[in-house]
Amino acid sequence: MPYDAYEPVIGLEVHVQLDTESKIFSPDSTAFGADPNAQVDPVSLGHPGTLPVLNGRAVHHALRLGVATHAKISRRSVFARKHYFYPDLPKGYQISQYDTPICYDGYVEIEREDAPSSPDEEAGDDADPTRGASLKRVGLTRIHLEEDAGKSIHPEADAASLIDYNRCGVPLVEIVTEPDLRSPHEAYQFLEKLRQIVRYLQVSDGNMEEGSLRCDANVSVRPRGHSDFGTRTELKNLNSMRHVEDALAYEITRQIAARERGASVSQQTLLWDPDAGVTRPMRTKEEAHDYRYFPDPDLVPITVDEDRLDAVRASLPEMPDARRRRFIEDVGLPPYDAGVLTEEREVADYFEETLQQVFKRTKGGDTQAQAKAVSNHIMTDVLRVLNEDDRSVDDLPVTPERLAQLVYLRLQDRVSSSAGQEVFERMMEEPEKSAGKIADEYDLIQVSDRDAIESVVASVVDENEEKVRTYLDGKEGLLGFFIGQVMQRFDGSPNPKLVRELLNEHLERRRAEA
Amino acid sequence: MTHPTFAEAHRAIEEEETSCEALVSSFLETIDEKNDALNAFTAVDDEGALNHARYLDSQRERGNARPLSGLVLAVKDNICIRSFPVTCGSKMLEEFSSLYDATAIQRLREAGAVFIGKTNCDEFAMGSSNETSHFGPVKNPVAPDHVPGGSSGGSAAAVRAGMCHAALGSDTGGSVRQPAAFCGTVGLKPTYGRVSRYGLVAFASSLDCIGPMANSVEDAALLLETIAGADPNDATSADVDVPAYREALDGGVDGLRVGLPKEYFTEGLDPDIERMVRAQVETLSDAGATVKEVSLPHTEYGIATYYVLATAEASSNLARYDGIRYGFRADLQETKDDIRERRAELKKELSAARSNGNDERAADLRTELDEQQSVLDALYTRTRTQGFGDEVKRRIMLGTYALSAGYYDDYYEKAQRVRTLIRNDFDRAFEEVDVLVTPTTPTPAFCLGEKTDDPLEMYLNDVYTVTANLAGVPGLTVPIGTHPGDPPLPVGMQLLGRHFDESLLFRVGQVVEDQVADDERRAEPDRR
Repeated sequence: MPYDAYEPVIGLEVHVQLDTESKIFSPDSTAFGADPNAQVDPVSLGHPGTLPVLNGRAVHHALRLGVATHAKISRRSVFARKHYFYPDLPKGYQISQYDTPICYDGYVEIEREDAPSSPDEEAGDDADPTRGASLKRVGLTRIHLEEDAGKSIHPEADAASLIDYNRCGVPLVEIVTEPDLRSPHEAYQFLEKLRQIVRYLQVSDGNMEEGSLRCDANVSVRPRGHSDFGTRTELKNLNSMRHVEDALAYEITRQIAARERGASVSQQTLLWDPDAGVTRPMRTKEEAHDYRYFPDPDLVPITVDEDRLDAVRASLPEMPDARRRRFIEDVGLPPYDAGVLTEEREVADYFEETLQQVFKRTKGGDTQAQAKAVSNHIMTDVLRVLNEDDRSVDDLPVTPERLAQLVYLRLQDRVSSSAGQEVFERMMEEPEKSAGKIADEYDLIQVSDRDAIESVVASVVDENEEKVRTYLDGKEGLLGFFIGQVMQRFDGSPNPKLVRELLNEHLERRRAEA
Repeated sequence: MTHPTFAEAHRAIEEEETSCEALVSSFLETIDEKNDALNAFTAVDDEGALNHARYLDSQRERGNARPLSGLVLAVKDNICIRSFPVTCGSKMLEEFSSLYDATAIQRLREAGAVFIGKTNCDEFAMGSSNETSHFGPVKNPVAPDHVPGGSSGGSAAAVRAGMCHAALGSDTGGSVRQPAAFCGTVGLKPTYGRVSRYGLVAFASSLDCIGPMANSVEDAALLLETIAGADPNDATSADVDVPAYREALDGGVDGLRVGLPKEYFTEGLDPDIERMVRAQVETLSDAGATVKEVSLPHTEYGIATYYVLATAEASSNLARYDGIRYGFRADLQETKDDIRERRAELKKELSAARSNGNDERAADLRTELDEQQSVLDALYTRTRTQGFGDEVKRRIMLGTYALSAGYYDDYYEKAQRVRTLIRNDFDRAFEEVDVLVTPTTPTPAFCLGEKTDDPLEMYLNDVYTVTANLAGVPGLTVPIGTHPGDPPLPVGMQLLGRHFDESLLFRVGQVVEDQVADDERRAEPDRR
């Protein structure tokens, strides 16, 4: 099939639950996992006479997201009512934003898959120099604030449906992208990047499985080189990043196959069935909805002046791309390390705290090597433990200070690399003890006492005349044998570097004597 | 008929001539005696009110008198009082009770007011005669075959008939002022945002105001003083200081500039009402006010603008009454049976049409079958068809239309622009004068059933009141005597002021109230 003759065009609509204590228009709690209908006051339930009052925190989060995605900010934006009847929508309308989204015209950068196919996709002038032209901008048409609806549950065995209104009124931002994505993988990357951004900003946990990040996708295909869009379909029920990628791949193949057959693609909404691995038309009737939007007279416009915007800008953390760049350019980490360490804000924070603690101890020297040493420990020990136990770095028993102690031991050569790993494991179990204490207790300190090592080295050389001759005749592979002998005879862990150095010294002395 | 005021009751309590309990008992007797005929109350809380009164008396004995101890209030049945029904005059909420106090109620409660009951009103406050109530019309206490006005007809009748000291109503297009005028009481629509709407069941959110109705300007001022002010639960409530309105009452009108908007004295105005209003203006002039004619040129668009905007907002605000979570729900089984029967019918007809070779008919039937409503949609339709009355349904349809794609710009959007013009009219007028004087209604109370068949005629009754809601300015109606017709019906005069300048309205209203009282005293010896 001439799959490559077609170009997919993908746009996403992403809903992100904002992390606020209370709902967007009422004081109800938003905590996840409460009993059904335990977080509902008369406002959430749309009881007669109740009024919405805007949660300033939700606005602040939306503005932070807007600024972090290079979006323009509306100086004045209004809420509108979007009308439709559904049992999980208590007021018969959703409070949303219509013609004045709070943010618009932003972008997010992702890794480019292929060379740009048209000049308008070229990365801008301020593209990350550490990545060159390999970045692609995905345009954000708009970011708007709205309230979530309740959750309908339709138990199969039961004729009745159940509704949990706890989610009603949880603040959301809806992020609509331009149709800039050209492959399922790009969609995946975009979502990953977006999730990274909302997590860095701490505006959302971005958890797709718990529904705090939800994604619908619009997709069409067109013959490569054409600029008109094909007929698109909308994909729903994409409950993980993997689903998004799989559903898009399936749907693109389906659309191409249809076109190749000479059939047309009809504009419709499809549900992804992850078990069967297919998309199916939604069973509900596709009615052309007239939502009858109009400005909500219960709410006043959101106004954002320069002072407020300055405060928002000042509140932004260093974002992942900038941090990555700084780790490479200022800290001196290899690009790979910088990428891994900045993936999550907490890990990057952990790295920097540990590094500061190391600097306190080293008071100068080769800071680049010190950073690399910290990076090595985090990438091997810390991230391995986090992945195995599926936990966050914030829950790690080994504090940055403890890890710094360990790194310092390594930098001083007081523990070997394998002993270092053991010290880390022990610290996980006994977080109250310092790295040095653990190394002591478990006899993991390596001996760097030159005289002690030298006496053993001398006796090994003395006692193996024959092997020494063979070595000096050119069989240098025997060095390993000598090292092994020294290690065996030594009481404790001699510093292997020192052992090697002293052996060399002694053997060369013999050569000179010979 | 006695017209009890709180000011008088307060004096009597202070001098220990009466108690809160005695006052409540006496009002309960009056209610008992008159409510069957007037139908002013939808719920009376005998026991609750008496208990509360006794509690207030005992507190008083301990030296904890509250500022409004002894004030007995009736509350329109679209304002929420915790654990009271709030029917809004609708079958839709017949069985519904509120879970919370409206902000106005909470403030009155803290001040020591007693809530004696909830008053009948037009369904969801939509009506000008109180005839759209699911619980039957209220009768005008002055002339029982006449309407009390609406939509706060129950509140006006209760105040006029001496069933309480005062009442709360709500005013979206005149619903406090028109019934107050028809029943001969004082009624205030405050500035939009002056009083929190939290707990007022929404009809048209950008126009709705809670307002006091009372037997004296002083009582109305006192009530406003208590309920006004910013409220964190209402984003549209205004953070503007609340003055001590009662202190402004004796200011007189000397040097005040009074405007007569010429558009309010045109065709359609009852000549006797015009004469009576002009006579009052004459007296104000005698008391030192300067009077001049002004123009509010966009007045004629008021009714049309109002009915586009109010119905648009209503269609949205009333969407929540769907039978799912609370309130009336149509019978589910009947709904299902109906769908099933209709389906069977359609299928039978379809096969008949097919066997007759009537392809066109068969296609139509097929379409109808395919488009049959789901049970859920059918339940919505049935619930709202049965739960709402005709006037409410009419307005929901009008408003839905005005907000529909393709019509929004021509109706809602355009009406918003006219609303701005109307507001500008007032701003300009208030550069020239301090207060505007108009009739409150074009005619006195009409007969029950007189206008129920002609919605447009009914809407025109709001011609002098809707503009204040559109502009957001305050409007006070004060009784100015009795119409010479038969039967002799009350006539009201409306005072319109600048935003948040209720003080001035009360000041002028007090002068008018005193003038009218003087006139009546002078007239009385003649009758003997």
